[in-house]
Amino acid sequence: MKALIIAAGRGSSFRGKAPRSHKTLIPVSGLTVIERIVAACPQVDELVIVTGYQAEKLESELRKILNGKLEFTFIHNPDWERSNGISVLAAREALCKEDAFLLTMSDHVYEPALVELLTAGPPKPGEALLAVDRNLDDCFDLAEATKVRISSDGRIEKIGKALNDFNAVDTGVFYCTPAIFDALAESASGGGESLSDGVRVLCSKGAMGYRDVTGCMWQDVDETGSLAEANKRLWHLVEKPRDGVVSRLVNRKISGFITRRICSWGVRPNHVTLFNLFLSALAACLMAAGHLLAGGIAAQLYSIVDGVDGELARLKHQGSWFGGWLDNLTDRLCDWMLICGAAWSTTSLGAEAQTAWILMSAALISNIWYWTAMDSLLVSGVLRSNKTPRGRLAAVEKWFYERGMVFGITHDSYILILAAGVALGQPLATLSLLIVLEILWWAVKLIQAQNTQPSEQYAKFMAHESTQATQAAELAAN
Amino acid sequence: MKVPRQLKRQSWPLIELLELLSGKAAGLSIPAVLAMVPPLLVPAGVCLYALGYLPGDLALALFLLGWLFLAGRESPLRFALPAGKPALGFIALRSLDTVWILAVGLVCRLYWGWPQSVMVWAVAASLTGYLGYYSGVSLLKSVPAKIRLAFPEAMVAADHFFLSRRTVWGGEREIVFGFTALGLLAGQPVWGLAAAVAAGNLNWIVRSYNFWRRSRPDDPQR
Repeated sequence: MKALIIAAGRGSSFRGKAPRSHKTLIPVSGLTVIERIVAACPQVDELVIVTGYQAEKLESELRKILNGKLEFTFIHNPDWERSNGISVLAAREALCKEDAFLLTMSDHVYEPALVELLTAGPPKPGEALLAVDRNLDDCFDLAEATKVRISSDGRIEKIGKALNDFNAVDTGVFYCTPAIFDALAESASGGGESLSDGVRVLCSKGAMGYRDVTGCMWQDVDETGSLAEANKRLWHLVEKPRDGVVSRLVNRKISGFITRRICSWGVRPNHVTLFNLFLSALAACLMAAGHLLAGGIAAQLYSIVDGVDGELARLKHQGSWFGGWLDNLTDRLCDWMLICGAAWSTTSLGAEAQTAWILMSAALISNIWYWTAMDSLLVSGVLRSNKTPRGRLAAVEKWFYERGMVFGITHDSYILILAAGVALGQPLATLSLLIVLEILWWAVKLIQAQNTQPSEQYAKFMAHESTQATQAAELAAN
Repeated sequence: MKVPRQLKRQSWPLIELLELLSGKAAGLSIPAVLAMVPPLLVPAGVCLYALGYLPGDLALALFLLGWLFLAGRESPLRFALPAGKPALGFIALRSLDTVWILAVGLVCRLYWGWPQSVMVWAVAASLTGYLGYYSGVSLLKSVPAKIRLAFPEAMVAADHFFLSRRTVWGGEREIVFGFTALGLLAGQPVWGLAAAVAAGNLNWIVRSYNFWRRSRPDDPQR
């Protein structure tokens, strides 16, 4: 699919304030607006970008950003000072043979889900679709927004900034057929040169539809206030819907602060993951050397920084399978290092080396047992979505769950207990407590699993599994 | 590895007994019979050690090899429970693997007086074995949600594959248990454990490196 991006304007509201020459090059939480548009449209494999104001400078900057990511073509609009409909018309030749294409402003940021909803089905021949948001209360600057009046039959009746009887706002993202060019040409011949004028022509023919994207994040970035709002809204997207209690109440607040500070640097999530490995090794060494307070603080710092890589990945669209794999692996390595360091720190408090070895072995075994058990619940996770545990504990868990928290011996709570215990000079008691807690929690989860109703899909999967196992056993026996 | 003749002799009747119990005394192939030998190393090693026929390190080595083959077999520990319950077989296998290697270190250090380094290597070896397994499992764990939801059938196939193999890379248990047992048989547990650490880590690092190298979108071999 192709996408048309209108980047010909001057961006006057930013003049003198914006750090870059063009609005589409303004960094929003570490990525330029154009990079955010590209990341939000994975369906798009070629960009057609209409430039005008400072075209050469902009094109040179965009080449640096887009090279190697996808195909792109520049179309220069010498009449860039006229309305934006003229810029859309400039791309007519490049797009008139397409069945459908995306049309987006160059100063809007939005999430991929918005584009997914908009492109869920193609527009009918001769029509165009506009992504609209019906949540008017959530609109950042309603006075400046382009308003639309939508009808119950899926059509847009009216569009314009000065509209009084509106029930939605224009998000600036369209899914068009080449009919938009005819409509723009028609409106331009009558003196209406803006994109909204062209849309009004389609409205008058009953050919302007919409897709409701209410709930999806979008924000235009055309002055400093809206830039701050865009940063804020993007951050809400990054937040995980569920977290451990310690993460939600303590760690995320600090890791979020760190992530927001470093997102504009060149740091990638995998760099943070590897830094974490170093941080936990440092914490383990400090503990083992008997610097218990410093070791405990470093361990908790590791737990906090552990959230940064994921936040950075989500914020800058840099998440990958490899990154997830590396993060999982380093989490276990870091935990083991901390356990070894904490166990050995008992020798600095007068314990025998043998005690430290036994404690270390027991803590490692319970940790491995516990995490293997928890991970085994994750395998086939695609099928185990309809779990409905019952009982008092389930009620407690539900209470936390509804508040975005996961109750139990989660990674964040484990590290907090370990770090606090070591910092307070009680590594032996802390590791012993953690061993008991892990075993108890595992047993509790196992009992809870007995009362869990499997999803129908999962039950079918397990039935298939046992049939296969029986067949294999019969085959082996024969 | 040289299996003591006494053990061979004593294991034959047990095989006979097993054949009788399973009702397949006739028609068993030689490989099938031979496949039954390693699991018997565990009880045989324990019995011989208890009777005083085997020195401790040899008995421990036989126990490790027996466990390696016994727990690697399909039937005894493979019972993935339905209804989202943890696959106990998996948990028991991987956790006990760690226990036995740590136990080797503890026995060598606390009972046979080997230097502190034996415990360091035992901890490293046990974690190496688990890390080899976990580096494969976390491939399944870290499948991005989009891929997971987009290809549910492929995910189910991956689960089937994993549940039947119980490992992704393969070889991690064999390397760690094999080298540790070899070290014990040679009377050099430290060297055995150190070799297990080196070979075990090399195994999963090389395999995962190759996996990620092959799965690059621009790989010409794809």
